[in-house]
Amino acid sequence: MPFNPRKSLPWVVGFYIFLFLSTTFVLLFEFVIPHGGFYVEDPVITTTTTTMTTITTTSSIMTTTQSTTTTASGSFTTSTHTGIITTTEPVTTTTVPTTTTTVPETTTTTTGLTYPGTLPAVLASGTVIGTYFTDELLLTIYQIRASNSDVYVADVVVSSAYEILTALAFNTFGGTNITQTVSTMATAHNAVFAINSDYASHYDSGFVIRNGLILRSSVSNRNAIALRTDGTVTSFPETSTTVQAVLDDDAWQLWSFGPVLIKDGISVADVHDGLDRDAVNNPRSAFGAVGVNHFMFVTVDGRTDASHGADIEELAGIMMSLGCFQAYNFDGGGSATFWYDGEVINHPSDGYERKVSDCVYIRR
Amino acid sequence: MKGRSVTVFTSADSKTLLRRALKYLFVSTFLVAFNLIYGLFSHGIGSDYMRYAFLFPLIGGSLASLILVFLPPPGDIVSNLWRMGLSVLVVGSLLHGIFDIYGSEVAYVTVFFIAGALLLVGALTLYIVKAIQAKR
Repeated sequence: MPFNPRKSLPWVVGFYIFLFLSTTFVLLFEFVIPHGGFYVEDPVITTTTTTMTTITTTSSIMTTTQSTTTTASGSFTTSTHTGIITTTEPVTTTTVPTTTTTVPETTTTTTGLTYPGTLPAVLASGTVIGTYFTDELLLTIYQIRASNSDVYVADVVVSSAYEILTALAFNTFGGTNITQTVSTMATAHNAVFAINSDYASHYDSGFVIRNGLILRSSVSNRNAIALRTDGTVTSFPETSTTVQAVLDDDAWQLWSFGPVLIKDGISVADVHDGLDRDAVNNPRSAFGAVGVNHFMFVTVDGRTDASHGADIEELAGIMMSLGCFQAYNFDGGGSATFWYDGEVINHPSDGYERKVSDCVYIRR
Repeated sequence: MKGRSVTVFTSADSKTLLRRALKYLFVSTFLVAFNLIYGLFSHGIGSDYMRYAFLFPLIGGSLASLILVFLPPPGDIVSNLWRMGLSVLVVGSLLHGIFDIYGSEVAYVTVFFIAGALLLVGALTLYIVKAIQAKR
């Protein structure tokens, strides 16, 4: 039956005007108007290193040990609650001899970390874009080719999981349309490397722990992945636990997007998981753990002639080839952004850097 | 309302109802095309809410109009309430689809489905009540 305003009753015309205005408002509210959220302070991480000498008389061997205590604290404020959380990592004692780390084509001597295990073959045959070493960090950026796409890999070895940090757009969490580019967030936080993460404010529910703070405790049906302060990584259905229990289990970062790509060394990604976005080739970002304090951050280019992108199973395959024991899918599509040393390395599919609500970064 | 008579039943003939059915069919076709065009820009990501939004005008419009050929015709109020209900359901379905494809959760879109369903139930109830009254 056609709608003819001239023949319709005034209340009917009023109804359609109301419907149009409410629809317009919903779209503007969700896609344009920034609103909501609360301020989250950056964590204060202090690392103190003391060296002590122990002489073992029986064997007359002198051993030098280094004690590293890392303390992180941060706070968030909202109109309803205020809290300061201090997370203290147990004191760890590590023998720190002078080590030699071997990376493709170069040999670098560092006093801090040794590259654990052997370099995956797929990286050994890739192109090294950049390297950045400190006593707490071994970072190597590679470009490889997989799934008919350019793939960018950050091979990260850290002395402590506290080196893996989250930046929030305008230091605000929980709002809508409160976004910044990964570049902006990374620069503001003096980062050497950054990658988009799970766009946590995209959802209304799901656990969120960032830099040791619970930012959202409502449960979702998704599987989350947690990076603990001891450098281990675990994934689980959110319905199987509570966010407080995860924090009590020493979670430092928790991401809720998914799906899980690899769990305990087994690929669990399935393109038939019911989500269209998982089944089609798209730009992707992902996080993987090779071992304790050894991580891979990956971005796959897509939606171009040069790079088709990857579906979720292909992405799991890439993470497997990198030796990941655990791996997790981050937000992808136009959000997939891989930033290193002042510039975006990948090719965001929108042709420009999309603004997102959060990113993972590593400080200089 | 001045000079306008509001009737619950009209003497809508079969031709009018068939014309309505065709117009609702056109709306359904438009929604199918809308989904396909939207799909071109969403990189293969779709939503069942947007995919099947065309069913509201197809079943609630075209099919209902064809059934009404064999039933007492509805009046202005019933027709308007029914059409408003269908409109709200279609808009809610499209919005839900857009948010699905964007990847966000917007819980209050459910309000559109509740409002649309209430309008349809209201129209149906009024139609049945008046039909019973007319028989007496």
